[in-house]
Amino acid sequence: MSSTIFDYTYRIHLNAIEAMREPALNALHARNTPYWDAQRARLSKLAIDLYGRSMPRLVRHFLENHIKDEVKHAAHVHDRDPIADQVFSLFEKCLREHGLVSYFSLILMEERRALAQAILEPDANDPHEGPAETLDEFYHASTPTILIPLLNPSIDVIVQAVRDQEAFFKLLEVPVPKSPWGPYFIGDEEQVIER
Amino acid sequence: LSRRYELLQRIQSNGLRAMAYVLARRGGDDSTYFDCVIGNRLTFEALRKYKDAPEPVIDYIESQSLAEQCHCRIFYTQRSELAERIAGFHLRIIAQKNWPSFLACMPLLGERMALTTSFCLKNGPEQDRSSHTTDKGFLDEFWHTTAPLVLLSLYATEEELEQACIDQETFLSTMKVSEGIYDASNPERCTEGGREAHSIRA
Repeated sequence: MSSTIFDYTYRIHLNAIEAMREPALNALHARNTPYWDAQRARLSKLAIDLYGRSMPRLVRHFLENHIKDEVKHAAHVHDRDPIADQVFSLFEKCLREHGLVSYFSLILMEERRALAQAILEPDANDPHEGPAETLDEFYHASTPTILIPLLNPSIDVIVQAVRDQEAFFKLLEVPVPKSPWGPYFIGDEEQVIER
Repeated sequence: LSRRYELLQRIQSNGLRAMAYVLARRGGDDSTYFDCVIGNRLTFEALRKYKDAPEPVIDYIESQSLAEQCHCRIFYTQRSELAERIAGFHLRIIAQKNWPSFLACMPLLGERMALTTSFCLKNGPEQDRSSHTTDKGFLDEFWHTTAPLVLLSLYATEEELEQACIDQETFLSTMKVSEGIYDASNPERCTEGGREAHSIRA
């Protein structure tokens, strides 16, 4: 494993954690609703349609579970959300043009953002508010971290995935983080007991 | 390659199983005391033992150690014998096994159980016993319960992953976590215990 690949893989993970806190958490007042879950189900179905023949079994297994979970979460009453349409239009473009590594990098951000909203900003209409759905969301927000290395991406592919994550930050109109989570979180102590 | 990822998937599933167990019980015994005697003490021990681990692994454990020092100070809680016993288990892992077993058992199991407990305590009368009910505590804990997956994916050997699975399953057995409680291959899984379709505003 080259250290460059590691650096980018870890960067993808850290960017996705940045999506869990401000300013990304509540950017554009975009709140996860069942409509967002429905879009995620649609795109994971598209991922299987596009790449199902060549993808590793564990990747397919995750996508199939993802679709089942999201269909369940999307069963709650919801309205169309134009911001979700913009977000998932970006995701679909990246999935079609850049492949599964980019898609998983974006899904990590989106799922983690949705999980953080459910935990940090409780809302009775949130489809992830129930404990079982919270666990589903954790599953979606963590498993792609092992699926990305499993896909054995080239440097070009993984760099593109980071760029696609940055495009998502830009779409949300938040700055691309310069000092990511991890070793750099020191100094956040004043936030310790903010809820 | 595929054997490695089967093992990683097993490590991930064991962690989810531990979380499902805590959810089913609507919480566990996690408190700030756990951050002190498990998080804080064990990360120091791990840094002492795993000097030859890959640099990103050492960086990660150092960062977790700093977070645990912070969490340990957030609330005051009583001594917990359970926390001491769990710390004893992890100390034996550190003494006898390599870093992949430590990451698989401590952050990827124990920390996940702590995070799940905070989901159950949040906004309830007992929320001030868990540092992870705070925004920072939650985010730190999410980081601890996911970043090691990247490190294991990239740096652990197949033999180390094999051993890490065995050690995790020993921990689960010690904690009396039943088998198959979170089976990602079960198509009915997402409907178990979930809320009915609803809309408060509709």
